[in-house]
Amino acid sequence: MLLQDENATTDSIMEVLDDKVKAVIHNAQQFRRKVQAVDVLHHLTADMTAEAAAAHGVTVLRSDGPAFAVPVGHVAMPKLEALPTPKGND
Amino acid sequence: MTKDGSTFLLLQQQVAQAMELVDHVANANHHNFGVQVSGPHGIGKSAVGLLAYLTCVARGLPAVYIPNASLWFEAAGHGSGLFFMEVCWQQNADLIVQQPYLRRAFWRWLTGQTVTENGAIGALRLIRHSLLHHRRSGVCPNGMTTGMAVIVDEAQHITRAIEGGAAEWITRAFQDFHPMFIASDHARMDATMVGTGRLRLVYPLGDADCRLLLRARSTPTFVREPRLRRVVARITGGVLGSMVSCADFIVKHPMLPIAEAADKLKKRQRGLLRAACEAWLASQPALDVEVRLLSPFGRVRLNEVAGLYDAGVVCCRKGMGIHFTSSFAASILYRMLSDVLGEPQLRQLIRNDLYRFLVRSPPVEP
Repeated sequence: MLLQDENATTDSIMEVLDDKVKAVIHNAQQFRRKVQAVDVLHHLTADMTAEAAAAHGVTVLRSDGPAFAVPVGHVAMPKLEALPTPKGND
Repeated sequence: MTKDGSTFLLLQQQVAQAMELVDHVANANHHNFGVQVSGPHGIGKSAVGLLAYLTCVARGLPAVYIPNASLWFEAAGHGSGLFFMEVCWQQNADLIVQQPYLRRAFWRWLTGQTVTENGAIGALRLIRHSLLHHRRSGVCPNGMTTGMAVIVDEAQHITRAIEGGAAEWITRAFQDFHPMFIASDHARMDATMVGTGRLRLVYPLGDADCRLLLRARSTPTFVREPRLRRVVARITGGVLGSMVSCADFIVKHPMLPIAEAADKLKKRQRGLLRAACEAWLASQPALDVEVRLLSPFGRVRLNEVAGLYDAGVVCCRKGMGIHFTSSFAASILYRMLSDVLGEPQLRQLIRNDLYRFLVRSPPVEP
């Protein structure tokens, strides 16, 4: 069976699926594309610096003060166009 | 957090906790990893889960996101395994069609067949075996990860649904996944997980971040008037959700004089905190309250002050154990306690806790 074949290509599998199943796959793809458009999500790391965040279109606000000698004090605000809200999509 | 669907506030603490999960999912050969995210209502727990989910989606990593566990248990009549697998299918269908081990598990969905609870449980078992096999063998098919994140918000419904064994059930059911459970009703669940080292506490914003967010026009917490900023900082203690709520209130009442707006904000916040304090006090035998609170708050266990914790009267502060969220919250509880405790005991309590709190956490002055 094609679905069990480890070497089967996605295209060959799509050919044998019915439209209802394809629609679910298409929806999942669409959602992923929308989220992938939010560039900063690809580049997020736990120790992302304010400069690195700014490089990905994030507006960076930095708090100064002795309590923030360690880099926990910066807050970043990306402008996201139409951020998908999965709470409403499932 | 999102506001109007267009802004995502990235805070270092939330990013770090979200990335911890994402990194484990991306590393196919890593042992399974799971966390319970804990913190008072509105502190930003859901943002951790949402950020982890969106990052997994953006990077093409398999992830199941259940925004409210009650949906899961409402569906239990039709099969909770089936609900889980349906959500997994809807959210990951494009990855499933590409990935052989997922295709094998989801063949019924891919062939458009009706799936029963038994079929779903069988599929879930197949995924678990596959995750385990690939993790042990170190072989990652198609260069893709074999990790899968399971992010469940409002997870207190799980605790309520499975009295007495939630942590064990969760550990068993998702032992080969990477689960993140986020709960707003913590005490019982957290208490069972404290010893595992998998509890991730979300702390209130520090003074500097709090000041910054209230001043920055681009944030959902922006407050134009400096005097109102001081009030918001003082009454919310850096709980982000409360700050946003106060900022919204100010925006919606632009014609209010500053003094009146400040009074209304305090009254609103006092009402919320007071209700939580009343409910908590009502649930405690008087003697227990004395014994519990006359010891320093740092020695109080989370499940003893669950109602206060959930409502944001107290919170965990880094390296300080359980503490009042703000001097405003402390004053409300102590005022109510003055009716329960005698004056000498109240004085001792204030010496033990309130004084210590005020010294360690001076009120924010933006």
